[in-house]
Amino acid sequence: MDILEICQQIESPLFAGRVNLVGGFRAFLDALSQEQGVQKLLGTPLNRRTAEELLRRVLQLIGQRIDPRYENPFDAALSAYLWVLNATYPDLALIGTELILAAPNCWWANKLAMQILAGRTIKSEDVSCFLSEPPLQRRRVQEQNSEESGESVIAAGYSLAFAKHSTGLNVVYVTRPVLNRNSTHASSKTGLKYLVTTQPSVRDSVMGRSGGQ
Amino acid sequence: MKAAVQVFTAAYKTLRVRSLSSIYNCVGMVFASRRTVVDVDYLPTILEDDGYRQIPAKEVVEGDVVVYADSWGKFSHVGVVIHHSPDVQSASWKTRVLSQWGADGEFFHDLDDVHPYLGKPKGFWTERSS
Repeated sequence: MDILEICQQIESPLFAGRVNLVGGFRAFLDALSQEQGVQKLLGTPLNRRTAEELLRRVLQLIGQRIDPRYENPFDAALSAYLWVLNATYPDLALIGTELILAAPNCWWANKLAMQILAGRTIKSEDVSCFLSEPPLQRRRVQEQNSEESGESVIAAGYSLAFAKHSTGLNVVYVTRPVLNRNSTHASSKTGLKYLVTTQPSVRDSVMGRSGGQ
Repeated sequence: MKAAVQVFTAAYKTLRVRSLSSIYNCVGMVFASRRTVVDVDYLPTILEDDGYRQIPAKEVVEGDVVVYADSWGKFSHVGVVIHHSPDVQSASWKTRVLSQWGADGEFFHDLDDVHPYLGKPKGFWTERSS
């Protein structure tokens, strides 16, 4: 079973129906961990590229149009992806939390994201992530120094780009639409930058001590 | 929700749908008049604060509460007893329960006939003074 089939299983209504049986957050996490699809994701060696693919799935799901009267139909799937990312690549999970907290009508995923941001379930403490827009000048320097990069445009105006910086940093750009107050459609875009590093000294040299906070 | 109900009613023979709503969960159904979701982790506190006491099966009457627990012994689900009578053939009790299964709807079911995620019956509780 490849990653796509596992994702389809996790995003199915039956998966949501099963894990939504429970009456509490702890029980929900227990249920998630017992689900076959989640166990398969955790059981297979998850390389960085696959984990980034899961993050793309998160972006695609939160970009889906939903009925605002009801729970987000992908609440359980988003939680599962966040859970797996947190267990394997906490740096990517932190990016996922920021995205999920902006997603509409999520209940479990929102709780999990809040808990991850609170640092209660993060296993690796040597990862830091900054969710801010760096000064324009620094961004240009950073882009020029990128050794390799890739970008994928996904649903609903979101795009995700990964870049390997010459300093060894992994830089992730997430671009999302911003609604114009006078319009009902996305009329402009802004860049959210996620700088993921395990080395604070390098982080400070790139972002500046005041830039990333 | 409909997909879940189809699967559950096929898998659990004693299951009957009462209503389908995800506004409340099992604790909200029993203790909050079907108005809200209350995390099941608060169940021990609610039982204590509301003066509930655990009772043996022979003292149970309709309207008492049945609590389920997971494999670690923590409370995982709660329902209301709607029928309780001796089952002579099996030398035990025939107990029928009404409970809300998470966000998937409210069901009538036999005491033990629940999804594994909801745990197993741990005991009966009542707020009756006698």
